[in-house]
Amino acid sequence: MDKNMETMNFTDKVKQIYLQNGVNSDSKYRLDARNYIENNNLPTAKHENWKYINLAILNKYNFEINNKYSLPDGFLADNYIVKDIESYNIFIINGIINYELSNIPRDIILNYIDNNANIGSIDDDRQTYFSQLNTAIFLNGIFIEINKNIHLDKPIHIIHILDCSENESFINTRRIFKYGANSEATIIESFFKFGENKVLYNSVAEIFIEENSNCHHIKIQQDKKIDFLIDFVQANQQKYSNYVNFTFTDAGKFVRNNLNSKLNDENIETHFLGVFIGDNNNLIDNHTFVDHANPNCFSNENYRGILFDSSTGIFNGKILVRPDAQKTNAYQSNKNILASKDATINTKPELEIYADDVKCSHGATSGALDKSSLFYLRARGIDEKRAESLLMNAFVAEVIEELKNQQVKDYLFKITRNKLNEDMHFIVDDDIVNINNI
Amino acid sequence: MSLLKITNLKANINDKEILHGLDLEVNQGEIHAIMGPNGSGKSTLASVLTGREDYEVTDGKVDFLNKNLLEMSPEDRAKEGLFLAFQYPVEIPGVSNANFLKAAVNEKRKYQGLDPIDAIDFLKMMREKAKLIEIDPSFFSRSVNQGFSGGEKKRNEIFQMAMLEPKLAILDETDSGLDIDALRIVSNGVNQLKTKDNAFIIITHYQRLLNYIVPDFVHVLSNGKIIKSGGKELALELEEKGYDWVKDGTI
Amino acid sequence: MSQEIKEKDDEILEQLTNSEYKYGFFSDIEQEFAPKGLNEEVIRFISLKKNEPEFMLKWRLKAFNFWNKMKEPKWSKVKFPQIDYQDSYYYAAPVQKNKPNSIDEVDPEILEIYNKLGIPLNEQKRLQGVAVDAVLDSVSVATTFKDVLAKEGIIFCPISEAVQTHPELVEQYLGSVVPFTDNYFAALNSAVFSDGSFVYIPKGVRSPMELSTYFRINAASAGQFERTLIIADERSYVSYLEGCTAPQRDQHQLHAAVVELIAHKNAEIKYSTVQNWYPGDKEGKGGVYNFVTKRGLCEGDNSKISWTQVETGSAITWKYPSCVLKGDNSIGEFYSVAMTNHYQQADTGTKMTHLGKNTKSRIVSKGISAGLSDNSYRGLVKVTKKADNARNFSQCDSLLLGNKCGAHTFPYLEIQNQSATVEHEATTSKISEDIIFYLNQRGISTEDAVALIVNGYAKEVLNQLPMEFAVEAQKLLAISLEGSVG
Repeated sequence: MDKNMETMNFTDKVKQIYLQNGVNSDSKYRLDARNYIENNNLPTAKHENWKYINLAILNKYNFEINNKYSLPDGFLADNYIVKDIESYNIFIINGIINYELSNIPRDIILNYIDNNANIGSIDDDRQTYFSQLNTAIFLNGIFIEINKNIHLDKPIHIIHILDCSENESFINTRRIFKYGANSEATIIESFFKFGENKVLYNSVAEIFIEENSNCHHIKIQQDKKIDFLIDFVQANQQKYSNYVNFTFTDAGKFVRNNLNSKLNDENIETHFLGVFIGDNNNLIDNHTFVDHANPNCFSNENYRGILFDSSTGIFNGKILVRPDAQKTNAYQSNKNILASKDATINTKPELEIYADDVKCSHGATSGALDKSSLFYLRARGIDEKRAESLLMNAFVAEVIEELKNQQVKDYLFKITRNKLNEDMHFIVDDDIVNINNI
Repeated sequence: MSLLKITNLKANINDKEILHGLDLEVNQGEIHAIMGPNGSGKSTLASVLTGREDYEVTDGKVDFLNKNLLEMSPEDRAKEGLFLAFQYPVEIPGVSNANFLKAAVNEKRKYQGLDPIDAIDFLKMMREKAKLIEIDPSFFSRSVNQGFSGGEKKRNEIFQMAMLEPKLAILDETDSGLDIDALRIVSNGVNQLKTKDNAFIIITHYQRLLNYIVPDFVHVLSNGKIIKSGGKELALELEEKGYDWVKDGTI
Repeated sequence: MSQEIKEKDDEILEQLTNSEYKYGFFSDIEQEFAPKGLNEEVIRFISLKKNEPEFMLKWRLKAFNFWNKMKEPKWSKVKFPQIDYQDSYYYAAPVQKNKPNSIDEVDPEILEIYNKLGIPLNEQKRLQGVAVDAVLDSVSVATTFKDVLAKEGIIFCPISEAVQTHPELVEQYLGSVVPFTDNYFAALNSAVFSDGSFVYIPKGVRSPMELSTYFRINAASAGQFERTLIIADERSYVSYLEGCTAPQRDQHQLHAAVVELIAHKNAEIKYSTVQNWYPGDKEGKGGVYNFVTKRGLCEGDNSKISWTQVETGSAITWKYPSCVLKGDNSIGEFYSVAMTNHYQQADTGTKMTHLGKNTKSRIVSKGISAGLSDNSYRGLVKVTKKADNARNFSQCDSLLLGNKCGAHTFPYLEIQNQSATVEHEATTSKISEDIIFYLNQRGISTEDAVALIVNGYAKEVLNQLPMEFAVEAQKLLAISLEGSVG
């Protein structure tokens, strides 16, 4: 460890240590990002995109860049495989693919990402400090291409293992997913920490969805041990494509998701779905952006949050309709339940619209559980606590119901239910919301 | 045997007294109709009996099966066998009718010391009762009352009643807004569910429903009190002469 | 849409674009000015002119020093060239030979200005049931119905007069809701404001008539910095109206006002604005920069403050009439119609800060964008930890007329109390061609149809206005809107 590290703040560590971490790339994109990082500091709450957030907490830790890919002692791959979902599993350890543990479908191309990978689909004004930092310094990543005309029979499950068993780790991972024309596949990503040290995971995904293809992208952030998780997803859609993103977040200390989609042609569909459940004094922040750059497209966004204890939820969803994007239909909804007197929600749904022949709407709510619904359930003999649980589960189930794959849905019902049971200190029957169990 | 005994019941909402000392006794095997003009306290009575929070009981006593009803939580009242068919059933998005009812049935069984009902038996039971109320099984998987028409909501209330087999059911203006077909279905349901052991209180504004469900007693509620009681012929008389007739009669 | 109809629509749109700003005249009256520019000397000059007590001068200087250290805010969506704050007059007043003791003694040339604006000040022609304080550039020139109000114990006078006659009230309340540290323009206003209206409604009094201030910028290169202070004591009620116009000039004029409202226990203040400052011409030349801070404090339990605004004027509007709901059960309301055309920019909305228990707020915002304009709603609903059972409902709709304008919605909801119920809804759309066709088929011309639809769209807000204003507001909307179908 650098001797001076103890006294440096995060920005200094970035400029003086992390940036020196040996990326040799002649990619202009990466050099620009490096230049950006050299000239900018860790954002403060004064920055509109980091309002309500105190990143200074990162100054406290002496993270070291971690690229260690050998399997740590005591690692059991089986612990991370979701048995309820038939899937292809790909393990990436600190951003590096582990082929031995993975089973890879035919009809896809899987590869590491090298220094000069073809990246750079993120518009400048969408970038964040962390996406720039990732671009400047990432060493590892995963590249997946679904060949054209392929409908993959099972989801691909990418399991991110954050191995911080040896030191306080800073891990930067890049992903590129390419969907060839007329292809269809589900990619599930989950994130797990291995080891006891603090970890900061800063990952970026660029997704290219070609004409008439279908990308279902499920992000499951359920490992509470992860300290700081910052993820950035940029989807780039071509005509007649459909991108569905579902993000479930059960916080670590701090989770920030940026999710963008750029609608590069006509007749595109985009669905952003999300459920976040906060507890302790954790913070979950979802920033989403739908860029309607072309006419005749449709976007739908539905995010729901439940906040327990003294947790904080942040939602910032923006719909941009550019001047030529006539006949755009764009909908956005963010509903929240504060389940504790110390919880906070800050929500900001935004519409920025420059075309007139559009139908756009957004709504946001915060409140407790509906009293008349509670009374109705109680008047039918259902105990108060169970009635509350029923309503909370139903609240998140409405978002999960929008997904297609039944195994994935069932799994999400299960983990959200378990999470709610834990936070409400109440166990409900397994089939409380899933009607298929009767 | 006496199911419900209300003695001198007084109740407030927002510090305003609505029930001014109401008395009523309902025995097993009886059907009581409570009629009265708007604002007479009919729905307040239903709310107080089922334990809605906003209502404050200031005086009086309510015994249900010889237990103090007013001390019980809303859910315990339900588990004891008290059922309210709501005037305005709420919509509960995301909770399917099937799961909701399964939870309710099992809570009641647990209260009675019985094992939870088997999923297959439950489904069978739902199918049977659905036939009774003439509803399509496709509705089991729909969210409770969500997107239902007024008539469908009322039918769903009666369906729930059929599933929960209460000892005393209160129908709060279940007939309001129903067309003649729906009225017939709802009444059929009630008549088939009636036994010598249970009882019904039918709160209504109109005599029409009582052509289908024949009451043993008719009470006139006015200004928070029962001012006249009689047999089923009282309803017809009311229909003909209006409520002022009874009111005047008492002065 | 057929080519023919399209051309007709364009023609109607064109007509509209050319509709004249009818308050654009300029009156050549004798005026006196403070030296151009802004420094301590100018502030001392203003304070001396107004014969102010020491506390006022001190306060102004503190505000000025604070302002000097601040930077112009950049967070809103409006764009404008750097304002040279030294290239403006901070005090302009019509020269009146002697201070008038009654309206009859007011300079006839000044009365003529107000006649032209449709606000007769002389006794015979006064508006029925409305007391008017007329502010021309920096000073109040006349206040009507003063004596009638005095009988009820109501104080309604220029704030410069209140500083003399009721210094204790001014000292107690001035800056208590909007401190000079609040923002850049509030600091500037605190340093240089020269007049405005002052209202005090005593305990238990319902004002027998509407109170109104009519603001007029006349002088060239003069900023207008008026200050309004309204105090409603316990159990009182007042409805207050504000109207504004300015002459048509090529240069931009700066208007940076501050309005403070205080409602004590069980009191209610209703504040209505029809803002029709000169918006600039169709090339975006000239027009008023309207940077205004308006805030009401529901100080006492069960108090209520309601803002209603119809914004059709100004090149730039930067304005967020807000409510601080401190008293338990207090209520805040914001009803707004903001219409922009040509190169106009509006960034307007409200802040509702819930501090007390059982506080309620309601926001209804209707934006209408046409031409090349940009229209943003920006709002904050904040529910603090102690504000149990707070409720808010917000509805923010945008209507786009034409495809070269923008409509934006930036609501912030910050909720720290679990018993709070907060709901925000927003929609953006254009006028449906089906509806236009339907009305056409019933024999209504396209331009009338649009006016009809827009009026319907804005109705919820217009209904909140007092009668006298509602009619004017409807006319204003009609002038700005007729037939602008995209």
